[in-house]
Amino acid sequence: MSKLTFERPIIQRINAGLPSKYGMPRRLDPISHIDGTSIKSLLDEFGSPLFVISEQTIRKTYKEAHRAFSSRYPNVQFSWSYKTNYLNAVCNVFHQEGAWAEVVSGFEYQKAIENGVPGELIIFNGPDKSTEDLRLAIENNSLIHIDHFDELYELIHLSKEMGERPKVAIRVNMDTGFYPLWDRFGFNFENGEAWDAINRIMTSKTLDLLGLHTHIGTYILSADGYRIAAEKLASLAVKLEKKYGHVLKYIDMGGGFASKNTLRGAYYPGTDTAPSFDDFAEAITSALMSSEIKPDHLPMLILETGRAMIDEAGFLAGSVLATKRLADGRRATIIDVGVNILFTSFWYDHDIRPVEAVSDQSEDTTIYGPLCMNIDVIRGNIMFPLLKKGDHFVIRRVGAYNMTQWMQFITLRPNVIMLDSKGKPHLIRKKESLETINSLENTPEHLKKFDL
Amino acid sequence: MTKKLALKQFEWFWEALFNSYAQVFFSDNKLFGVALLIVSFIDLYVGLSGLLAVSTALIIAKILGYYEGNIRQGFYGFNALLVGVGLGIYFEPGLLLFFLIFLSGVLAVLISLTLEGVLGKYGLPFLSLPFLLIFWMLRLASKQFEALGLSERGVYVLNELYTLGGGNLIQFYEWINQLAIPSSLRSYFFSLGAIFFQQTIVAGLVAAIGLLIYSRIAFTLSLLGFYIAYLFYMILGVPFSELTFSYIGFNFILTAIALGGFFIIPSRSSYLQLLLIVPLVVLISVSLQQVFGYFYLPVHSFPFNIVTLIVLYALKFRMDNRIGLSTIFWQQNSPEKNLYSFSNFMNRFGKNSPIPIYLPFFGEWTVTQGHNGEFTHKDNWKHAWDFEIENEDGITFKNEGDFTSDYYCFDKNVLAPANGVVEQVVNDLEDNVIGTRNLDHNWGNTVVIKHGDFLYSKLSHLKKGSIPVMAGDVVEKGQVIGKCGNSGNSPYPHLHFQIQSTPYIGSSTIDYPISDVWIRYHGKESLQATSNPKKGSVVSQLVPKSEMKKAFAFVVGDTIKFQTEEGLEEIWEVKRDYFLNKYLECQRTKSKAYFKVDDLMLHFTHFEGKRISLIYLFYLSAFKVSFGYTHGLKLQDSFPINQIFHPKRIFIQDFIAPFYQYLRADYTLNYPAASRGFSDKPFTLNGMIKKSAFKKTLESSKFEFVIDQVGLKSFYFVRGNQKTKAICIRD
Repeated sequence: MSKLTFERPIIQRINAGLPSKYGMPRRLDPISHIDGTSIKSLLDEFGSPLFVISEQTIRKTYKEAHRAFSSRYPNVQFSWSYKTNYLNAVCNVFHQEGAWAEVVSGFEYQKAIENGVPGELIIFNGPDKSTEDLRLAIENNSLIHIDHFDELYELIHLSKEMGERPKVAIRVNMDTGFYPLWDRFGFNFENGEAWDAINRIMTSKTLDLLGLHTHIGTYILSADGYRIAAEKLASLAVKLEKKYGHVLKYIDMGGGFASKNTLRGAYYPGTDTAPSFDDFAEAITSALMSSEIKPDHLPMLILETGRAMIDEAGFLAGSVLATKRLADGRRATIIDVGVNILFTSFWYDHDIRPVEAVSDQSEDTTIYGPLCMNIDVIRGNIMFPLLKKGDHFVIRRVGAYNMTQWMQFITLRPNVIMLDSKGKPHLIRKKESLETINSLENTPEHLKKFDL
Repeated sequence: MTKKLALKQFEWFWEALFNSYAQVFFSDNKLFGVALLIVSFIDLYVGLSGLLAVSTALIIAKILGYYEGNIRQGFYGFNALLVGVGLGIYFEPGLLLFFLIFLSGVLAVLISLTLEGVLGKYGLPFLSLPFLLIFWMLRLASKQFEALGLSERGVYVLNELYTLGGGNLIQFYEWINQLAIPSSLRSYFFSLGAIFFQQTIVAGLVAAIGLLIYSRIAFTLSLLGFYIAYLFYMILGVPFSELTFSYIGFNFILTAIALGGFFIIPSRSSYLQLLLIVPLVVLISVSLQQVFGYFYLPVHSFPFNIVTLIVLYALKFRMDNRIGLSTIFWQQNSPEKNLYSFSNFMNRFGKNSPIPIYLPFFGEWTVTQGHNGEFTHKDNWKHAWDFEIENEDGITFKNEGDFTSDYYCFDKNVLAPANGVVEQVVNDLEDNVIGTRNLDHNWGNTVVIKHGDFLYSKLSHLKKGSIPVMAGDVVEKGQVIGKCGNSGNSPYPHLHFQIQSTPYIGSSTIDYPISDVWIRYHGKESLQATSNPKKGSVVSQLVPKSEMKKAFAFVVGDTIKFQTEEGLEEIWEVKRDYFLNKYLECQRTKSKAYFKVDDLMLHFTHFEGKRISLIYLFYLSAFKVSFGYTHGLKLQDSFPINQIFHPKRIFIQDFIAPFYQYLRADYTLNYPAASRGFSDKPFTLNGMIKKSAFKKTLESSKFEFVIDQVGLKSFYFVRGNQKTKAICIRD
C-alpha cells in the first residue's frame, strides 16, 4: 500500500440537513490535460507559469461563429481584432481561417502587414492614427474607420495631397439601451453627427465611403442591443442611398460579444448568461434582412469580435507558492500568477482549477498573486481545494486581452505555447529574461559605476 | 454594285437550292448538295426536271412568305426535287412534262406544309411523304394522259451518257463497270444512286463520296444499314437481284442514317438497334411491294418513312428521352455535330434546367438524404433532398441535442429558391419534440411556390409560425419564406426540399437539378452548373461579385467593344434569337457565340462563324465563368471537340465517335489566389485551353482577362507564338 498523500487539517461547518437550492457544496473538477496533452508535462518543459493556447479551440470557435452568421446572411466576413491577442501565431490561425485584420494603432497596423495581411484586408479603427499611419493606410488601400472630424478633415487633406481616394467608413455611436453609452468613439447617431459626417464625406468627393461601423460596447450580455444598432446603421444606409444613390459595400457591427467568463459581482456564471453566437447572429442578421435595404444591395456584414473568439482557447497554468492563514481565519493560497500577467482578473471571477486530483474537501480561500502589491488578488474568495506548495493549477478562459495588456512588473512575462491540432506544443512567445529588459535600457556613462 | 446587290438578294435561293439536294440525306452541307446536283445531271433531262421542281417550290414558298430559315434549310425543296427527278426519268421530256413538274413543285410545298403542321404537333419530321403522295398520284393519273409518252431513257444508259459527256464518259463508265466491285457493294452504289432514280454505279459512287464528306457517321450507317438488310435477305432466302434490290435498297440506308444517327444521337445503342430495325424495314418493304403491285405502283421510300416515324413517335412515350436512345437535342443537321454537342451538353449540364432553381438557404448545408434516400425519399417522392447543418465533426447539434434549438439548422432562414408565386402555405403545426414525429401531417409546415408551368418547389418541416408569406404572394429568389423547423414527419430539425410538377402538398416529385452549386463531396470541391447533390455532400452558393457580373453577365441589347493591338476594332452585340437563345454577334465577321447566363454563372455553349476572330477566342476563354468565387477557385470544363479541332483532325475520330472519343479539349479558369477585399485595383483571371489526343497534350493555349470595378478591361490570348491582345473600349 502506497503512502497516502498528506492533507492539511481543516475545520469546516457540517452542512447536514437539506441542501440549499444550489445543491451540495461544489467540488472543482481538476483539469489535467489540454487537447490531450498533460499540463504537468508542459509546466515541466516550459516552466511555470505558462500560457497555453489551444489552436483546436480557436478554429472550432471561429467555425462556430462563422457558421452562425453565414447560415443566416449571404455575405459575412470576420476580421480579427488584433488588440484582443496579437501574438503572431494566434493572428495567423485566424487569417488561415479567413479572417481579415482589425487594428487600432500604427503598431498593430505594422504587425498585421508584417504577418502578411494584404493592405486591402486591414480595417484601421480607433482614435489614434498619426498622419504617417494614415498615409500608409491610404497607400495600402486599407479600410479607414473615421473616429472624429479632425481625422475626417485630415483624410480629405491627405487625399488631395496624395491624389488618392482613401477607402473610409465612419464609426457611429448610438443609444442601444446600454449603460454606459459608448459615445466617446465615432460620431453620434441620435444627435445627427453621424449623418453630418456622411454628408461631409459625400460632398468632399475625394473619399470613397464604403461602409458604416459601430461597436456598441464590450462584454455585452444581451443580443438585443445589436438588433437596435443594426437597425440604426441600416437606416443610415437607406438614407444615404436615397440622397446620394450611393450603395454601401459593408456594415461593420464591431465586436463586444460576451465570452463565457463570469464578470465580478455577477450573480449567475457566464456559462449560463452569455448569449451564444447564434443569438447575436440572429439579432444582427434579422435586423439587416428586414431593413429597407434592397435585397440585391445587402452589404457585406463584417464582425470584429475578439473576446468571444479567443477567450476560451487560452489557459494559464502555474504552481502554488505557499499557503497561509489570514488574520481573520480565512485561508490564503499564493500562486505564481499575478495581476501583472492576468490583467483580466480585475474584471472576472476566473475559473481556476487544480491540475492534479486532490482531496474532496474545499475551503473558502483567497488566491493571491506573487507580487509585492496589495492589489494582487486573483480570486477574492472561492471554495478551493486544499492545494499545497508545488501543486499545479490552471486558469481557464484567459485568451483575450491578457497577452496584450500584461505588464512586465516585478517579474518577467512567461512562455506562451500553442498546442497544434494534434496537441503538440509550439513555443510561440519566449519568456522574457533580464537581457530582454536590459537591452532596451541605456545607462549614462557617469552612472555606470558606484561604490557601496 | 447592283450586281453584288442582286447576288445578295438571291443568296437565300442558292443556299436553299443546294440544301434541298443535301436534305435528301438530311444534310445541310452545301458541297454535298452540289455533288448530288451533279449526280442528278447524269441524265440531263432528269437533272433539269429536278432543278425546275426545286426552283418552283422554293420560289413559291418564298412568295407565300414562309419562315426563311426553313426555306434556306431546304425543308420545302427536297420533296419537290424528288418528284421532279422521278417525273423526269419516267416521262418523255416536253412542255407538257415541264408544266406537270411545275404543278407538282407547287403541290410539294403545300403538302410539305400540311404535313409539317400535322406531324409537327407530334414533334415528327415529314420526311419524304409529300414526294410519295404526289408521285403515286401522278403515276396513277398519268395512265390517262395520252400526250405524255413513257420515257425509255432509263434503259439505254449509254445513249444518255454519250449526249452528256461524249466518248470519254462512256469509257469511264465502262471502266467503272468493269472494276471488280463485289456484287453487294455494287448493289450499295446502285441503291444510293436510286434515291435520285439513277441506275448507275457512277451516280452511287459520287453520292457515297458526298455522303462521306458530309458525315463519317452517316456514311458508316449507310453501309451498316445496307449490309444488315443484305444479310437478312440472304437468311430469308428472298429472291434477289442487284436491280430489284436497288429499287428499295435505299430504304435501309436512309432508315439507318435517320434512326442510327440523325434523329437519335449516335451511340452504341443507336447502332445496335439497327440490327432489329433494318430487318423490320425489310419485312415491311417486301409486304408492301405485294400490295402496291396491284396498283402498279413502286413502294419507293415508303417503308423508310413508316419505320422512321413509328420508331420516333414510340420513343416519345418513355419517361426520359435523354437516356439510351436520346431524341432530345438541338438538331444541327449533322450526326457528328449533334453527338459532340450533345455529349458535351450532358457532361456540363446533365438534365437541362430552363428555369434555374437555386439552393434555398444561406451558408453551407449538408445533404442528409438525397434522391432515392434510405428513409423516406422513395417511390413517388424519390427526387427530394433533406438538408441539415453539420459542424466540422459532422454533428448536427450542440449540447445533448435534446431540444430543437440545439440543432444548427433550426430556426435558420429558408429562402425562395427562384422567383415565383406562393401556391400553398401551412404554418400552424407544432414543432415536434426531438425524436417524435407527426405522422398525421407528414409534410409539416410547408410552402409550395410556383416557378413556371409544371414547375413547383416545396419546402417542408418549417418552424411553426415562421412563414411570413401567404398564398398568392409574389416572392423573389433569395427572399426569406420561413425558418427551418421540426414539424410533420421529422424526428429532428431538417429542411425537406423537392421539385414537383403539380401545386399540391404531397405531390410526387420530379427529377430536376439545382443550379450553380458549390459542392464538397468526399473531399473534392467543385462548382456544378446543374447538380443533384448526393447524400453527404456539403453544398452552398458562391456570392456573386458585382465586378464579375459587370464583366460577364451580358444583357440583351448591350454592345461590347474591343480594340486589338493591331488597331482593329471589334464590336459585339448581345442578341437573342427566335428560340430565345442568347448570343454575342460580331458585327464584322457575323460570327455568333451562344451563351447561357443566370444569376451566378455564364456558360458559352456554341459557336458559329469564323474561327480566326477575336470573338472565337473570347468564346473559348469565357467558356465557363462563375460570378462568385472563393480565392484560388479553379473552374474546369471541356469543349465539344468539333468546336475546337480542325475538321481534318477529327475526320478519323468521327468514325468511332459514337463509341469512343480520344480527342479532348479541356478548359481551366483560375481566379485570384488571394482575397481582395474592396480593392478597386484591377485583377486577373487566367486560364488554359488544352487539346489532347489519347490523353497526350497536343497544344495548349493561355488566356487572361483583366477586370476592374467597371467590368472587363482587357483580354489576352496566346496560342503558340500567336498573341492576341485586346482592350475593352468603354463609352
